[in-house]
Amino acid sequence: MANQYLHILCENYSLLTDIQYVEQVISGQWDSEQTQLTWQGKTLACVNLLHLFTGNAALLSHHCIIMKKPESDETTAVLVGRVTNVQVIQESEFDDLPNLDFPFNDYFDKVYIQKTDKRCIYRLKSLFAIGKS
Amino acid sequence: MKNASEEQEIAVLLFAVGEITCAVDMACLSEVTAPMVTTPLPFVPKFVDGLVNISGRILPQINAMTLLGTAIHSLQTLLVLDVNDVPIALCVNQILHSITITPTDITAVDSPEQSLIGQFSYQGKDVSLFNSEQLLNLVHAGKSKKGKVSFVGELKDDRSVKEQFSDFLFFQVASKDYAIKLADVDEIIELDSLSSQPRAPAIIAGISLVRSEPRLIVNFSKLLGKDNASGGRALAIVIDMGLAYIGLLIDHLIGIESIRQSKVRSKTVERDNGSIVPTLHITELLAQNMPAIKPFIPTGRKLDRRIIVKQEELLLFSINGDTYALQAKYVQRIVSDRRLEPLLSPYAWIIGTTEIEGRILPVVDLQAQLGYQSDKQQLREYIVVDDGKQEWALAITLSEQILAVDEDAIDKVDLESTAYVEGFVNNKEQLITILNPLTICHDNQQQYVV
Repeated sequence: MANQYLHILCENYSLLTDIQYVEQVISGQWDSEQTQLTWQGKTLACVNLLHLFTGNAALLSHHCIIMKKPESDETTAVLVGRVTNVQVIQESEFDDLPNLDFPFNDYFDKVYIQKTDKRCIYRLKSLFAIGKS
Repeated sequence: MKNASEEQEIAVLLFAVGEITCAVDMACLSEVTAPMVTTPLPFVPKFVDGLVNISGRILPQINAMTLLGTAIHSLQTLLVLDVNDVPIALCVNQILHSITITPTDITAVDSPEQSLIGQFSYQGKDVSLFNSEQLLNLVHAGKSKKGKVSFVGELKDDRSVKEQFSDFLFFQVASKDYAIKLADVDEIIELDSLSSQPRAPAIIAGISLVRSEPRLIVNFSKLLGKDNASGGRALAIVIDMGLAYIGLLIDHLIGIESIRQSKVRSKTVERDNGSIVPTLHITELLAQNMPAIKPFIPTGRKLDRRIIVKQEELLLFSINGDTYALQAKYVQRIVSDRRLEPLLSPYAWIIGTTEIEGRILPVVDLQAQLGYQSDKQQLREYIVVDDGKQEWALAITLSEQILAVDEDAIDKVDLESTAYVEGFVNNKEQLITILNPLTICHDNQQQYVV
């Protein structure tokens, strides 16, 4: 089973999120102070993934991912460093993360090894749900 | 004589970490390799470089220099340690060599934060001995996190959430919304043309060419027992019924929606907007109506061209813009402008008799028999056919041409059908309906005496 994933960069971290909940990707510049965003007349709570993972408040987010829950109108804005591309990845191509008891387990469920440079891309468990945290 | 502790020798590998000489129990060492590309991990201590892919295994990498607080040297080596079946990578500097020590050589040190278990002296230098198990503890390796409530709450396992949805196709028929499982739909097509079928029941909308193949199109509203006719764009949902693809005419398409499993009931689904939409088990519905549908289904063609293909000659003619044909083998001759003697008591579609070469033949208004409005003044040509018992004159407005087609290019309909259609042929994207003169004549024969 192959799914489409949005490939996200947050400084040194390469991330994947399932495209099925992605409503829109907006370009712009947002700093770590950005907590709300107006989208289609609605005020959305912002989650700054770049700041969350790097801890560096000075970094600017260049893309905002609008996530929409399929079974409701609940919508969340997630700020990231950049969205680079869309990748189609088979479920079988993902590996398990090493079983280490650190908080990254709350965010990632699988890891994908890039064929070109052998670096890991972490698959986000549910980008949408981050907004509820 | 040595005592028991002296006999218990330990093989250790010596290596440099910055300016410090270190050692690790070789029983835990599974591989020594050159440094690999590491990917950083968030929310881990600084001495964890990140993840490294070694021979397809993804391991956490501990940086011994950062752990021991030494200077960072560029010459680096990876030690892959396997402790209690949990592998980790330890990044050190230059590998020296292996030696054997005894437990009595080791002076215990208490430095769990650096994973050091003790020291021993070798060639006048102090050597720090790593505790491999403590290295695992530093990265909390192997601890189960199952059952932990993550900050993502109920959506922790995203894969299972996806499985709780089913895709439905929503559409409108006879001004009412319906849904069918998307898995039951082969495709949705916009019909370029639709040729109605003579003497077909109301459930049959006609035949349409779909990618050059004739497809039966069913009137969905009639299938549902409604009277409303479809309007607007001619759209059809194509269902694979095994023996044939059948198109169902719909009013318009609403769209596809993933419906949560809890919102799917036996006869309805609840959409995101809260509306309750009836669901149709479309294959069952078609199966129930198959006796009425089947006679009109074009059969598949024989596509094996290795067989020498016979050709059939067809006499083409038009009725009200629709192209019909009779196989030439049934046609005796075509005559025109013959005198028509009306019958005293018209019967069926027989409009009179005519004399051809001394024989009196009944003349059939073919247009009327096929269900078209017929202007008898326009019927100028008679196609003389022989049904095996007698000759008939089928009156038409004008014949067009004789067309030779490959026999296997004809999609024949069920022979048991009493319908007038024998088959279909696609001639340069023009659908030609081939009529069966035998059944046409037969319906005029009852009680009629020539």
